[in-house]
Amino acid sequence: MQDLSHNVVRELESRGASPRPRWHFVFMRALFWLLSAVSVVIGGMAFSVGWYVFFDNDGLHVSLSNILQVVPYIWLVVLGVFIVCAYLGFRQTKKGYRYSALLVVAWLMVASIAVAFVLDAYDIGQGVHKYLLSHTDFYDDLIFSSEDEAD
Amino acid sequence: MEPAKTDQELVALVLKNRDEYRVLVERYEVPLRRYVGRLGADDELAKDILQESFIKAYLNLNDYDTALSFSAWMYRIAHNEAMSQFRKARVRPSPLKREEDLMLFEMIPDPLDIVMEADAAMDRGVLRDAIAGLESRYRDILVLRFFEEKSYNEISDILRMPEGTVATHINRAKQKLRELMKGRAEPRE
Repeated sequence: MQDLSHNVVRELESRGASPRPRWHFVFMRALFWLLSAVSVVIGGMAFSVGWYVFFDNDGLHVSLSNILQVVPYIWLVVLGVFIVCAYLGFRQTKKGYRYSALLVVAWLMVASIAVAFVLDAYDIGQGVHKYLLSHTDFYDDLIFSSEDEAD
Repeated sequence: MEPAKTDQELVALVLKNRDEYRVLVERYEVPLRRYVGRLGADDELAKDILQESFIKAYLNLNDYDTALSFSAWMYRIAHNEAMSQFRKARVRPSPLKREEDLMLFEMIPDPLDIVMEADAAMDRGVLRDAIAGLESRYRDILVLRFFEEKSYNEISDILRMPEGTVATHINRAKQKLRELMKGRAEPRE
């Protein structure tokens, strides 16, 4: 028994090893929390743009016949991707593994949607949508909006 | 005689004086050697896994959360190290190779029903084959629950999964083991 403890301590001495400082772990955990929080905000922004395109975009006529065409899939995909990122970040926090994936994802969805409504109140979703429409070529192809109906 | 120091007290001492680490290593060497052996490591590999696990634990000692049991934290490190070594060697040795482990398994009250439900003439070879036939996630959880006698809470901390998932995996592991044992025992009739 003493052999192993002796070997371990001798190996630590020969490597000149000392425990990594506490700040290193605090920093790493903070990074995962940050990843999770930023992902929730980006997911919220995606939902607020999607919400704007689907519900608030004046002039877009949603009916049973075109509802599948009008759903802003791209923003739902972006929301999904960032929910996954937020979950992965949360899972790496100190006690993140203790909660069921389903529960965590549900809470992250709720948080993202809450963020989305805050952003929507400040017309951030509308701003992002209009910015992408006027500054990119690809966005218009990915989304069906009132601007398309006007075309 | 001075009462033995708790793990948490020892961790605090080790952070000030490396030599104190010997006491922690000596305290956990036997259970961890037994555990990695049950996961499938032979003596030589177990020695390497343990040495590397204790070194990693020392380097990450400031990350140890005193709200967790030190035992669960150490088991987690040893488990991860064992999996990493098995991956490097591209083999996943069969667990529970020792005869006494199989005897122990038969005597544990909870999984006894699994054994009893199988063919009465079943020998330990059937049990060994059935355990080896389980997916590693189920084998590992059976080892922790029934051989290391860890609580669901500790297994949750060791394998970093929710307690509910631990319970589900244990139930599925038992069910699959039962099916495998029936499957292996039937051709013998």
